[in-house]
Amino acid sequence: MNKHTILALIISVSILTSCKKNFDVAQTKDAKVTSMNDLKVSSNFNWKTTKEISLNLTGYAKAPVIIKNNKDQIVATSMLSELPTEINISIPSCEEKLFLNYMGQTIEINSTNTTYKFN
Amino acid sequence: MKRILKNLLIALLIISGYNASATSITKSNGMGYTTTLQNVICNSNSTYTIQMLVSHNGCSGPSCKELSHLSIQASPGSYSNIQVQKISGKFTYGSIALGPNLGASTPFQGFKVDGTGNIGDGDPGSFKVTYTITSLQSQQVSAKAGTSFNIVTFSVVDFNYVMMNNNTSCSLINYDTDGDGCLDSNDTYPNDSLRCYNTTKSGSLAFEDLWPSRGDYDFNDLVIDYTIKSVANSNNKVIDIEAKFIVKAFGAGYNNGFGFQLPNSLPQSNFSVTGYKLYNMTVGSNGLENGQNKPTFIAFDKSFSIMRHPGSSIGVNTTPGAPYVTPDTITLHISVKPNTYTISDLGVNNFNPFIFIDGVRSHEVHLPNYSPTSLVDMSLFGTFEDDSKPSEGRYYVTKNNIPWSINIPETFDYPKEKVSIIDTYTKFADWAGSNGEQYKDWYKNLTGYRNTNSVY
Repeated sequence: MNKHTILALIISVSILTSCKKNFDVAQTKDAKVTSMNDLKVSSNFNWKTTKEISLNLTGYAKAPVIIKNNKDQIVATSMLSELPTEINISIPSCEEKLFLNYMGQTIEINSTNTTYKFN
Repeated sequence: MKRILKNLLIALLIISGYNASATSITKSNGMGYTTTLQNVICNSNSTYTIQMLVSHNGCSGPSCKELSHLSIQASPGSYSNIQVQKISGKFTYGSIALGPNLGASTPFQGFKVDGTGNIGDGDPGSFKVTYTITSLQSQQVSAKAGTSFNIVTFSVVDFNYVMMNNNTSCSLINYDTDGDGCLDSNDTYPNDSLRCYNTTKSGSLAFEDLWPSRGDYDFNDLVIDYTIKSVANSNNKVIDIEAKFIVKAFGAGYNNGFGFQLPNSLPQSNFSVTGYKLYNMTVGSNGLENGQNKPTFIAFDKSFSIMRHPGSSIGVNTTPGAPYVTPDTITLHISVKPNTYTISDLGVNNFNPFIFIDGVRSHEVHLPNYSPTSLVDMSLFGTFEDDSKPSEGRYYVTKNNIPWSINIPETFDYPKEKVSIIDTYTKFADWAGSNGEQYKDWYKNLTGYRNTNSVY
């Protein structure tokens, strides 16, 4: 096999590989869903745009906790006391952070870390 | 005269060491120690007398060491008249260091009860520290034991809270005008002893109404913005609910109705409702729908009676060029049996909205996998494109798990008539196809998220 043959082989393999990639991209584009009838959805998808969170909050005085999202919008309010209070809230699935305002304190929590005791 | 009497009363309170049934705040220092802010009393010369109780629960061992000293933060020159009194146990102390510098072992300025002993590490007990301060300020309290500072912080809000609740302020203001246990500063209804605060849930509902047959998925056969405001008292019990529904559009030939159900089985007699718009239906004397096992509220029964057809187009407010009809608002005022249910008990966050099609009450459409009401015609499930399986709790989805309605946490800019949601919202298919993991915010008006020409 001379140098020219090897070079031609490399170029050919390279072109074929490139075509394969392009073919994949084209296939993905072609597979873009354009009709609800073609939409493939997992059988356990719940179609919810919100998620339910159960907060367990304990205060040290009978006073309200105001729960806000990252746009400073009030999500919920509840009175707290020295005993744990369960607060069920619903927030958009795309939001993670919550801010708890209580007795002049502001605490940031993550929607997966839902237990907090004020002190 | 009133002020003189009040000052006299406050003086008596101080002399008597008043704290019975008073509001206090207790914070945990750690290692078994707690500090209780028992009283904050405004004096006639505008200084404040503060009483703190330091306690130990009697735990022992390396994580419950004996108290070596107690330090209280205060700005230099602002404090005086420091007194220490044993309340229980064998507590002793050596001296009171007036500061303001308290040595390297204390990370703030203030004063210190030094040489303490016989409290902590197996010795339960408590002692009270009383002092005068010229202005309320954030104060740290350090219960030093071993190498641990065991610090808690009392904020100005904390001091004011105790003072206002115990009515020991110099002001003649009543801080809880309606006496409902919800201070005016926290009370959305300061002159209403039944109500304290609101919690609001809002969003938008969009329905297809050809169920159990497949629709055109423009999700505009009925489009409703909702706001559900729950009003609670200071014990977190709901007093009433204001459910506001703004009917924005219905691209439908059917004359549909709309209502919602609370998800828990609660006695219908504990509720009453007004504000619905019913033209054909009748409901119970309390306004709730009869024959239901859960509280059920019908907002309206005939969409074309609350918003007139404009004379052309399919339905109302979905066909560009057709006359626009001002959205109608239905506000339901729901009274709840007092002191009975919290918002969680009622399940407001998980309310179950539905439409019923063309006046046929048993022909309901709910959000995917939400249960029908007691009045549904069960024989419709599993017919045509519907793949509900009541025994599995599967409702209102097709064999491919496609729904007939959707709930969005903000106002929904719905598609024009006959334009599929998938052609309107460019990330909708990615969201659904990824099991909701991608483009969770597909409905927002972000760059590249929607074909604006397809939105009504």
